[in-house]
Amino acid sequence: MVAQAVHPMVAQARTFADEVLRPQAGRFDSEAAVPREVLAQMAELGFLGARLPPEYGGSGLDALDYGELTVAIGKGCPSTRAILTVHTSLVGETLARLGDAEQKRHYLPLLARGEKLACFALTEPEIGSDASSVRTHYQAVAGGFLLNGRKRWITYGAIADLFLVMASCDGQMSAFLVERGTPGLTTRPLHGLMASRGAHLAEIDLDQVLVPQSALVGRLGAGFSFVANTALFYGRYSIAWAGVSLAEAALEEMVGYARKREQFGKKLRQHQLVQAMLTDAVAGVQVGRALCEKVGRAIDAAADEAVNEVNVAKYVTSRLGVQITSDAVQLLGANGISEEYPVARLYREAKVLEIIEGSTQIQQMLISDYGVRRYRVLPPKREVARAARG
Amino acid sequence: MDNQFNALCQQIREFVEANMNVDDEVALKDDDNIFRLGYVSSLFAMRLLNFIESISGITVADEDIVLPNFSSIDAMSALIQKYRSAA
Repeated sequence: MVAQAVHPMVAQARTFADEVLRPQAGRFDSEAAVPREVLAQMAELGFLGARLPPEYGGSGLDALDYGELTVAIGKGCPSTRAILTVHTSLVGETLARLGDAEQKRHYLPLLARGEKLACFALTEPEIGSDASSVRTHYQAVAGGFLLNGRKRWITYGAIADLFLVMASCDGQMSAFLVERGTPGLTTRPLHGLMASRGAHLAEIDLDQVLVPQSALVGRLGAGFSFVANTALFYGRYSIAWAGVSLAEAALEEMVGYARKREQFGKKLRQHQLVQAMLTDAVAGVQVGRALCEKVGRAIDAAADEAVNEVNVAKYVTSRLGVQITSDAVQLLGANGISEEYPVARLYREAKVLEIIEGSTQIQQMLISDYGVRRYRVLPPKREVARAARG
Repeated sequence: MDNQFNALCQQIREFVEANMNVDDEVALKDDDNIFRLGYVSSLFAMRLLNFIESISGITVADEDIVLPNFSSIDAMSALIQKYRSAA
């Protein structure tokens, strides 16, 4: 097999994950915080600007390399990978695509250097999948817009410096950039979570928050149809690879254990039922990778199919992540539920991928609609049929 | 209207028709509001923007990225024509 060239940043990310993240991921989880110095190291290595355009200080990685970067960091620590999803993908890439010239000039270099951490504030206490119905309200006033409302489950919201906030007025959603320190904006960390414990999830209150006209991303009313949908597209691509990262990490744990542990006088890997689990995991990882790589190539080619195929990839890898991490727990038996091994944490982390960036059920709605178009057999056109008949 | 413009409009029409969530044959009219009629969801707006930019070579400015500019074949034709006239 010919070794494929690895982007230097991906190689760095793998080393960083092995040396810094993997040994500490359990502690980040139990202490419910990825330390700021780890994020600063990520910024220093250029990971936070990996996908941002070089003219704004980013590294301009293509989609495939960015996927590999996501896998490397995600295998090391899923809560740390989440900063890539929200900061780089959901906010950074969206600003690069839809921000105006001044927003790009001002914010993208700050995001690329990690001098400001960004998060995506869409979900609310009462609004999840029904994202177009957000209740956070904006009102045009002299000097800008007044925002009022509450956001919840905002990844990295507890420490972010910049919030991309979705708000509604008369049924029209718009998107606003709000900086920490703006009077009326407060954040409260959320604890007691099954997963994403280290990812600084927060509830955000917006109480008479006044932002200038220049905070508007896109035009008024374009918040859902363009800004949120663009952000969620980038976010889904990130989460699709995150599913691969968890599946691969779990598979590696399964392999290591099955090669070492003996029961009934032989290695676990020699037991046929274990072989079945390993087979499903190997096949699952490869299927997930293939789907993500297909989407990555479509994104790099600016092909329209990426928009539908990313839903398929996210749907498949998030479910595979749950299945393979579950099998890993099963294979490790009692050790699988112990904190001495990482598989229980991987299992918890996998489940959240089925919920965020469009739940499994939302993906089923989208993919079903896509499928009835994509796989519809059309009657042959008359002239073609006539020609075929001779 | 030149042939290139007509070809662009035809490509947009075919793209919309290929992505409409309808069970029966629907004759898409040039002034049909594809969002209001439920032929496509608002999720499709971003794809229309990307598609128009990719086939026409134009970069749609921030102020034009609003749903009404993508709501019908007529609206999208007018959008392209506006940029071609300005070029």
